[in-house]
Amino acid sequence: MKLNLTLNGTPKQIYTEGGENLRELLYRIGINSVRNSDDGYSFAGSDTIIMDGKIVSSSLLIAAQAEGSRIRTVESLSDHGVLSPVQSAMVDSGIVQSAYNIPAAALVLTDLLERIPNPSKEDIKDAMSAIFIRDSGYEQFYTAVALAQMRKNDPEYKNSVPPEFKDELKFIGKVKRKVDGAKLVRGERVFVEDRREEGSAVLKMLRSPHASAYIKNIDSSEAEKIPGVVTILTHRNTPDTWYTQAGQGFPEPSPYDRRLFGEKVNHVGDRVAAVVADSYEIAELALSKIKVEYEVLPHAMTIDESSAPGAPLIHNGEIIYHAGAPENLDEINKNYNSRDGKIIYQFPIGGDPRKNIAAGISGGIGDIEKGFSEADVIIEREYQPESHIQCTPLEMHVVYTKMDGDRLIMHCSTQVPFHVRRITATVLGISQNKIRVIKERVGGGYGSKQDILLEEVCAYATYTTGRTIFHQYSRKEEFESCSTRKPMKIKVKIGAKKDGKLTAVYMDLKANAGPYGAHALTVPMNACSKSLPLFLCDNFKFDVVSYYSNSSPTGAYQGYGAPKGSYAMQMAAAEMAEELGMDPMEFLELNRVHEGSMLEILKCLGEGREGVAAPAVSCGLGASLKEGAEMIEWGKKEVSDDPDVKIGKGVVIIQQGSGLPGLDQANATIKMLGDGTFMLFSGGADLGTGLDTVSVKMASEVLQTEMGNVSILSGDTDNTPFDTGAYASSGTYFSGSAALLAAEDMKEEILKAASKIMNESVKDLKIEYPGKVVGKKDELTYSKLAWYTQAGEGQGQLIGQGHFTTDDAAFPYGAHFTQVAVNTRTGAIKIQKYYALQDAGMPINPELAQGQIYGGVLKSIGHTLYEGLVYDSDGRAVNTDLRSYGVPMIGDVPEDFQAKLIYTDDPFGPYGAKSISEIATNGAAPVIANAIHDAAGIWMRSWPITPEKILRELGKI
Amino acid sequence: MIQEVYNPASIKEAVELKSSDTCYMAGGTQLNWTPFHEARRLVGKPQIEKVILLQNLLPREVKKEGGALFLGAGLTMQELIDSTQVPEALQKAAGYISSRNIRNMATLGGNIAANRSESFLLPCLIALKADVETANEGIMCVEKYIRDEKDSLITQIILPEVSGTCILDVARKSSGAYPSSITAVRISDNDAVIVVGCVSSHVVRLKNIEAAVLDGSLRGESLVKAVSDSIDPESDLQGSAVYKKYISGTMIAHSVDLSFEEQSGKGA
Repeated sequence: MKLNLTLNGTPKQIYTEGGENLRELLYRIGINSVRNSDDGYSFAGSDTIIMDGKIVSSSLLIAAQAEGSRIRTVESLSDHGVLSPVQSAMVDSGIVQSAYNIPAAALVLTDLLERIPNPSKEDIKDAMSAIFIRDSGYEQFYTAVALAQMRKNDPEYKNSVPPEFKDELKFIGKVKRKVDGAKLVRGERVFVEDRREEGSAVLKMLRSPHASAYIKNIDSSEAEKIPGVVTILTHRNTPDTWYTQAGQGFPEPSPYDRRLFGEKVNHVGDRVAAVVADSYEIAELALSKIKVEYEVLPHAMTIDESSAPGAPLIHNGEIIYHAGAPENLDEINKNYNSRDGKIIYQFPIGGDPRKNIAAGISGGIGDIEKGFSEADVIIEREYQPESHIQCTPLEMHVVYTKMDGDRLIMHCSTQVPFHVRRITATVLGISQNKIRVIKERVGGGYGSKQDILLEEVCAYATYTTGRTIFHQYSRKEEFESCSTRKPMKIKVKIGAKKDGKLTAVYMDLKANAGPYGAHALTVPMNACSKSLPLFLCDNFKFDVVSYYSNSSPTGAYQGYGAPKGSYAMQMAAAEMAEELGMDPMEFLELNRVHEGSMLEILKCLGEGREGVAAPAVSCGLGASLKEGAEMIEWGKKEVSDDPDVKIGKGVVIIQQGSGLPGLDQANATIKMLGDGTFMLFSGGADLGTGLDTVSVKMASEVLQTEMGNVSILSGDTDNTPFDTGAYASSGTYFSGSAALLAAEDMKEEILKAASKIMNESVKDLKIEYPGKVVGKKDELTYSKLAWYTQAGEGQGQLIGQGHFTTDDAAFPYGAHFTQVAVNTRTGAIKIQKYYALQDAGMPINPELAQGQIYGGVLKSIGHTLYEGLVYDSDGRAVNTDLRSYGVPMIGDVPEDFQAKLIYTDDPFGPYGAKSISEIATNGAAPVIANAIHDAAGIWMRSWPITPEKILRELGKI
Repeated sequence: MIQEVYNPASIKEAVELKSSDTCYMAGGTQLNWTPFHEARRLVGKPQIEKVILLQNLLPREVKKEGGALFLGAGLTMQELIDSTQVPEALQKAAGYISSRNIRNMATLGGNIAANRSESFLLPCLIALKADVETANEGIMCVEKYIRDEKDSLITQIILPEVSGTCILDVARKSSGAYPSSITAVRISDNDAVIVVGCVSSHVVRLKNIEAAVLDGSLRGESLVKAVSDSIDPESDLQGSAVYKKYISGTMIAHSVDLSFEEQSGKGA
């Protein structure tokens, strides 16, 4: 049928069939901004349009319903590329980060301001009620609306809400427009899915319905006969190469325990076969024709089930060590089953697969027994943050692969383009020069895109068929087959003197590694290394064991292991304070780390290598605690008018790292172009966090030229130098430092070249804004300098290089405070106040830094109160959609929510910067639990803290 | 997937097109919603392939006649909220649908016809003693329409004049979560209506306890227990059966307290 509608003011006649979905139709005709985040569940709001003046979800409409309608999409908002007041306000408020559904939000706010020119906070909340934002939280949307209102009359009106730092700097620490903000808020073609070309094939995966089973037989012959089927991949026709999907530096501290397709499936949703076909319809049909005979095995889902005597073995394959094999390896391998494949350790990481142990480690400092013997009070508690928490990026995992001659081109949404290239090369058995990985804009990663979860399958299919292939997870696959935060059970035993001084701290941590061992060692170690060093104590001990299971795969998630370690340690501290009759804040102050403290415990927490003790060179904890206590009126008891409602307050201290000193590496180059502007090439992978903006600011500040004169290309393995990737909070510290060093190198090159042209000594020259070299006699603009150096007789193009590695650590710190109201009749919890005070050193992008704090806190509020996969008795997750799973929406934001940046000047970070984002996820769980205790007298020692659990703890049910 | 779309010119034509393999579609938030199709697939029901569009046919007026309020079945949830004539309780119920996008699409008639146990509107409509006018079966009360699983086309909803404030409550983990329980209580001088959703396949009215609530003999803990004993929910993602029994009872007992407080306040 012919559909008549008016699209963004232009009458259109579009052919449609049957019940074609309106979102799909719009995307088909080139409206890329109307995206899919949840396969027709319409919870995330990425599919929002304005139809006949009303905000609606296009996924919930068939095209026929749009007959005669007027449809507006975000493409209507920016005239000739000029951002509307709403769009520019959104970018400048710090909410345009990974931005997958930011165009939808722009549309919603535009509609709001057209309906209500002066909206209240409740009006904004209502307008945004259908938009799921995972990266920046929601708080800055209020700022954006206020700013948009001002910009209606004054397009240049400046956002004065975020703080700025160091007047003497022009770009660093200042609110400057995010370099990719405009194209993101305009809804341009910036994501992997937008690279898809007409005629490309698609890949769909046949996934295991069983938590554990051998594939006895697989017959794809019927499926292969279907016209349009390109190839079908199974364990029978793919390489017997074993690898880890963890995007970590090589050699990885994760076991190589999977291949493209195994003969054994280890979780519901595990790969069984891949169909490459000309269309999704053909691929779906082919999937239904593949006959698989399974030998179903008993399964183990939890830490307790996997560690129990006689538990089903998740991996009973041959164990191989590339270095440091145990002497009894032959004995261990005596009864291995070849159908289970292999487990290859690059070096020992404490694994014992015959006990389902993927990795393990023990360590400590001092004498733990002596420490406990000196204690006046000892408490021992077990905390169970055992839920499976999912990253839930708005942009579902995606890859697009094609051949260019004999080279494989991979368009990826990844945090680790260089690891993708290396691992893909290994799997395909080709050299790295045959692969180019292009990191597109990433519509949300949060750790899940640190791992290579689908890229290598698609790459293999393209490499063996020559076909261009698009592959994207469904939301269900995101939940079943992506990576979740590792569930943990953590026992904490601490001893203290009567005065509150700690004498001993012991952490016994068990983690659920899931079916494969990506990050099996380092995530649980990180739970220790980011929670224990906050306290000064002579005697620490930890035992870490990571168990394989048949649950959903696990891996990295913002905060890594720290949110769970922090939950246990900070709750234990509060429980000890109560035992001692002390104020919890007083206990923290007495035992916390200070500026200059040597963190001895780090020498045994090296995350896969020898650790080193490191000093807390800069530490904003004192200021964070002081300011936060004033903000929340610490010590003042609040009373509700409702006798059922009890109000309590909590405080915790938190820390993280800034990259992995000694392990990470970042590189950048910068070239002067013919008119004196610059092209910066960074290996760093901007996930939407603003890393590209950080890098450009570094160059602009050093070279004293406007940010508009520095363009950046990043995360392209052909065109940018090596970078380990965006994880472990490394972006600003490592990739930013590399950009800084490249710019400083360029500065030297500029001065040397100018010296020759100007006939002045280098020491008499200096660089001045705007982009010129000033000497004693004369001055030379970059534009002229470029002409001189690149002319026929010139010395050649000026190129600067930066290479950053370090052994110096820069720890970000923070204190989180909250005030909660617990309804003892219903178990409902309301977060009345949440104050996150964080020391990020010098915040390079203050507005984005605040956005990341808001986002990190809100994510962890979700983890604490709502989120978690639920499994049935067959090991199948039953809540594989965003709503059932429980992500927080704007209605869940604390009533009074503030992110404060506490300035410290770190000597190691670029311009004193430290990391910002991951640490923000460490506070919510313990501070909410501690506040609940203050309110209602109950300790909530497991996640999620639901009303039902509160009622049980209160003895009401 | 929907294969055929009928676009009738009148209600009469729409009714004529209705058969066992066609389905009415108003806003589309139910029939175009993936979980709806998943649920049918899981229980072996045939997929909906033919739909009859109603969007331009259903009345969307709010009018008052002889003390009763007549609401067009095509009114969206947001239009209910924005109307100055719609009772506050019904506006509150519509507002429980957390997504403005959905509220702009979902219709009053569609919400009733979908007959979902977790409908935010049905407990309220039953408490308000609402009737539905159908295209081919005349007028019947909402309670009967859902209890008998009718599928006749709803054209209008009629709210009679009733006394007593309708007090609603909902329990859910987060602002966007599926509810664990939805309750509606309305008590007047001569009647009490108590309704609860999410605890069985349909929204249920607890007639067995209404008289005792009305005469004041069932309050507080005993009312919580009476509600718990009257319902038989299943454990699911929204909570255990024990929790649902408790929370439904607690919400109803609290609403009853508020209702009596309000009445005594008025009396004073």
